[in-house]
Amino acid sequence: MNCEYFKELISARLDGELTPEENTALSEHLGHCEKCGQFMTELEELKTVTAGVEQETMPSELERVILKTTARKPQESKSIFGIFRSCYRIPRGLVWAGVLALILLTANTIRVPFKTSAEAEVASESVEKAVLIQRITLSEEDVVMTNVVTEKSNNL
Amino acid sequence: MTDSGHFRTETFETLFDKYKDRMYDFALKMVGDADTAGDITQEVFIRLYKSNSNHTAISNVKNWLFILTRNLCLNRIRDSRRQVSLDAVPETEIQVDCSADSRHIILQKAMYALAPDLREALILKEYQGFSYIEIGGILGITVPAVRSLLYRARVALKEIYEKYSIKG
Repeated sequence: MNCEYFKELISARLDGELTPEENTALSEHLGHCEKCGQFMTELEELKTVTAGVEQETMPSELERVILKTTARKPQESKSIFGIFRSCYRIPRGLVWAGVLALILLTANTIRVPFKTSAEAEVASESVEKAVLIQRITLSEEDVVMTNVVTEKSNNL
Repeated sequence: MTDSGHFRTETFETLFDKYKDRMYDFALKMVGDADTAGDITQEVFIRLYKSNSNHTAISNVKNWLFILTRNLCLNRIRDSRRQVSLDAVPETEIQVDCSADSRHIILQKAMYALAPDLREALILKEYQGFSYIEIGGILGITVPAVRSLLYRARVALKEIYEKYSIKG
């Protein structure tokens, strides 16, 4: 194998991308090839310079422009469809399951006082009894009041 | 959650915060002009935002962002070369500073003088820290091809760097 092949291995070694076999072969070659040794030193120096270059950060003005451009428009939230569309991050199956559960719950709530006709009759009787008791109470009060008025008139 | 991310599990704002500096740095090092890099980065993130609005599934956001940025950069480089041939650029435009950071400046100029395919491979490796497999995924080439490309890129960069260093 010629030096060109080993120079490619040197480049890959700097990146940590050599197989153990390639690494061993390269080490053996570098043991007796000065040119390749020199090449490796030069690439290492270049890599050191490259590593010293700082990463550029996005200018704040550009960041502001991008975020403004991609900001949600307020009128989207006014539409009922917009609200449903905003649920896109929730799996659709989950959304439909929720809607179905809501429908069933609502129907169940409406049905509760009228589960059976017997229960409805019992409820009706209870209401009638309550009215009757109220009437009796009122009647007793009326009696008491009448007695009081009679006594007062007698005294006079 | 992997570093590559997934658009169905991460919001646009999260992805923007995560990748904005990397994408801008990649674009700037590719095209060498802050305004152009800004335009490219803006377009990339707007496309990412629209893909979310259109319910387009992106399995690997990081790769998607780098591939798109790379393509837009190459388009800009190609367009600029149509307008001004590199041969027409006078030597005097290469200003070499001999201050403490001169090595970095020379290196940057040497990077811009590289062919775009060599430059992008070096940037992805040296500045973005991608593995050979990841670079292959972005550039659409095999791992041995990445290794060969990076070797050729380093040889070319070394030659140009030494040439500019002597001039300085």
